[in-house]
Amino acid sequence: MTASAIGANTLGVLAGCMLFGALAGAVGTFVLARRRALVADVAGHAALPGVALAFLAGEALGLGGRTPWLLLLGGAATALLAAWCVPALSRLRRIGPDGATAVVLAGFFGLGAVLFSIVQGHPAGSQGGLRTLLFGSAAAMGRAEVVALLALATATLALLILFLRGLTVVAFDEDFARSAGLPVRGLDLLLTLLLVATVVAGMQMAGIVLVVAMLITPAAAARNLGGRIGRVTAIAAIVGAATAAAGVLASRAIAGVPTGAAMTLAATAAFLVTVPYAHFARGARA
Amino acid sequence: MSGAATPALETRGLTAGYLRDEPVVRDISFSLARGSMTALIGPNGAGKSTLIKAMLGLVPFVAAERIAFLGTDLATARDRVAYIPQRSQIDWNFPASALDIVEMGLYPSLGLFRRVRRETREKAREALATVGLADAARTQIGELSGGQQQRVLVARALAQDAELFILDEPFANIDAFTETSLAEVLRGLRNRGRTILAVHHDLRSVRTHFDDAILLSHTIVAQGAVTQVMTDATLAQAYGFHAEGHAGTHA
Repeated sequence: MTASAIGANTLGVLAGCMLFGALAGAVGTFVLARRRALVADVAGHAALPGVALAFLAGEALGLGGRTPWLLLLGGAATALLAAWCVPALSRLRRIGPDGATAVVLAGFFGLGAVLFSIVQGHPAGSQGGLRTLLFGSAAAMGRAEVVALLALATATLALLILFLRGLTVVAFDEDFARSAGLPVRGLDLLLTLLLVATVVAGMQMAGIVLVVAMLITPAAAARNLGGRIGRVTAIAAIVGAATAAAGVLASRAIAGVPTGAAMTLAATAAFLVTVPYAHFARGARA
Repeated sequence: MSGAATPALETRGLTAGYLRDEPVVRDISFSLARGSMTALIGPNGAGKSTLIKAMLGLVPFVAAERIAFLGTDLATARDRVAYIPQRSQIDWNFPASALDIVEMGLYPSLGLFRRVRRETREKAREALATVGLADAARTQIGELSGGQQQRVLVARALAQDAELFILDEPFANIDAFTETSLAEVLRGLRNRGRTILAVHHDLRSVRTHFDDAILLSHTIVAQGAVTQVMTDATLAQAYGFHAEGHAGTHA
């Protein structure tokens, strides 16, 4: 990808990254409310082996290793598998959810690192650096990647809006939701799917290591500001879009800064600004 | 179908727990007449919450010959059965207003997608007013007192307009005012033919608030009218020697 091609794509990349930021903020609000923040981290790291496998599969099938939809599908497959492994292993009572989270995250990421070293030995894979995928690079995104991101983000956002009520009730009071006949398992699976879709939609831009920041940090900032779930979701989406744009622009302005890292810093700054507010609002209540 | 003869809640031979082969409650059989008001009492760890959750399908391992809500199964009777969980089990930092929570009581009949209509939304407001929280409709739930939070949960059940109310420790850790007003709301429901089953741990107030009681210690020790259930002998059996002080109100 040459510099001039990126220039032509800048507006598209910016639009894509803002939509991703908004989506991540909105989905993250529900992930945080359901207390699944670390699953977002697991899903991000666990996308790595899937992306590497998809690259190798694409090469083997003659589609080319850098086929966007194939990379998304591969990343989503292993991210979903890992997200499923965490609760399954948590049922082993000697480990517990935190232990299961750590084991699964490290295991999938380790596998991904090994597979990626094979990809980088591959002639077609050497130019797509591991660092780009780990920490994100908006500059490395071509037209096809942006289109895939826009389509996936739009579909995910639509699903979130459609199931807003169910996701809200389950996050607030799981037993009540179940007693009311809502499909709690189905809604939890849906939330995991939305989470994974968001992770893979944003992985090239935000990077798989730091994509958790775009899901959780804007949502945490919005929670600090208080209000009802609709307001919190909207604020998280706005903070997400703004910090994603800031990250893309900063990484373009300062050579060598990965997009995901710049986005993360912007989101963390937004979060820090809200901390005193949350502190004093709580103090006033107490 | 819903003739007065069919019990509001009936269970036979129910055994349930969180782990396979380690039941918390065993061989539970009872039936609640329509319009009755029953306390489920017993020592800590006796399985009171587990029992009501098991009937509602919220416990992983449940075996029973029969569990009937309003003469039918839970799936059919769902919108006529209101469950009020323990207040401590809920995330009160959740971003919602009191009215948001009460409106959730409309969902059992609306499902995932049907829209909340204006007249049903009015029901939620009325329910909040009934528990004395009309002014708190827009208040963030985290800013309510413990007693107010409990009343919000009861209002959610009222908005559901159920026939059977199952409450888990509604009187735990609340102020005296809330206790009195809550008891009044529940008695009002009973007087309109609704059935109430509440887990209750304060033996001193069982007589004040309830007509009937079920005394549980993993199995049912006694059931019937409060005065019959709460004898020195049954309480000693369920609680051991320490309970004698609590049981001292016996006439």
